[in-house]
Amino acid sequence: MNKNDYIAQVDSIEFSPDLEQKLIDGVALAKPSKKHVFYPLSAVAACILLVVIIAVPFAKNGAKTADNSVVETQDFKEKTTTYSSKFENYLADSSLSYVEDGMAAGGTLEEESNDVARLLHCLKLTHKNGENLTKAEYEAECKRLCSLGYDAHVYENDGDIKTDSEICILLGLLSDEEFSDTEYNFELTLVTE
Amino acid sequence: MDISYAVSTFARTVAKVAYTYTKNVPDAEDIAQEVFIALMNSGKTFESDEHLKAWLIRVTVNKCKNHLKSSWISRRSEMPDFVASQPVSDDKELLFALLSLDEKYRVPLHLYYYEGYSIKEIAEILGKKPATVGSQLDRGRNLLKSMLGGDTLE
Repeated sequence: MNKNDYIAQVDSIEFSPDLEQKLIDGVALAKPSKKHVFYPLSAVAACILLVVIIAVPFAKNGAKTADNSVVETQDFKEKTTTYSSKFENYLADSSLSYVEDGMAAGGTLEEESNDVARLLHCLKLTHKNGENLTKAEYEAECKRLCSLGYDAHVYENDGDIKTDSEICILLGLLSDEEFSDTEYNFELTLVTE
Repeated sequence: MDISYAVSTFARTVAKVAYTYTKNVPDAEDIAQEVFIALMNSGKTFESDEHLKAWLIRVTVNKCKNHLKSSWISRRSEMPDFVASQPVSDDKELLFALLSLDEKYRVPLHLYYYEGYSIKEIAEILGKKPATVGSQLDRGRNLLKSMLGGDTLE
């Protein structure tokens, strides 16, 4: 078996012989008619209103796909919030401040051992007086988080993460099993960001 | 955007990518239809055919994920794979072995071996890191190798 076998086998899939024509006909049917402008306008207005009503609850939790359809990410957010609150409560007793959080994904911290695109929580920390942490201080904080059982790694941001932090701590947000049902949505988020 | 040109040039590319997700022809053709309607509605202009093709593949991937995530499909997926497709035959052994892999392996494998995209290009289309795509290709090949008794894609 080789690449050519695979190509031949894919080429032998029996799609409709008139597939192209069917698609063109389908696209033509989907085109909005220009003959009846006023009635469709009111219909469009109603649709927009309906979309706004439906979309608002998702506005904070939705991710857009490449073709701009909204994908529900409710479960993802709920889990994120739970984890974040837990972490913020912990930080409340710390000498450091939790400044912002972001999301990161793509590959894994240990690329070779696990290729599940894990969701990571990006933590930017400062001292209580607002001063940034040095790398050494991030490493010390990271070590402390690890000792508390968190899956934490210091990460020097090379632009992958949607945050302005040059350095941060990445926390593994969910176990791979828990993450499996949210991986999909997050990948879509990354595609369009 | 000339939809007729896009359809006549890339309809089968889109349908084949969709097939690697849906594993059946009717659903793949339905998704191809949705993709070209999305193209019409997008009003986008493209720098080149390659740009258009990459956009179509990316939208196809997203449409397929939406499709597979729908509750109706989730219930239907309890049925055996390939139920709406061609019967498994020896002359399609490699194709069906690939289709039996997890989605995260079969799509990069298809784009790499059939469409001839580089790892970097696949990463851009799928929104993943090149290293992730590289390791998925490697593991996918190894899985195929174990399934096919030593034969795999070279």
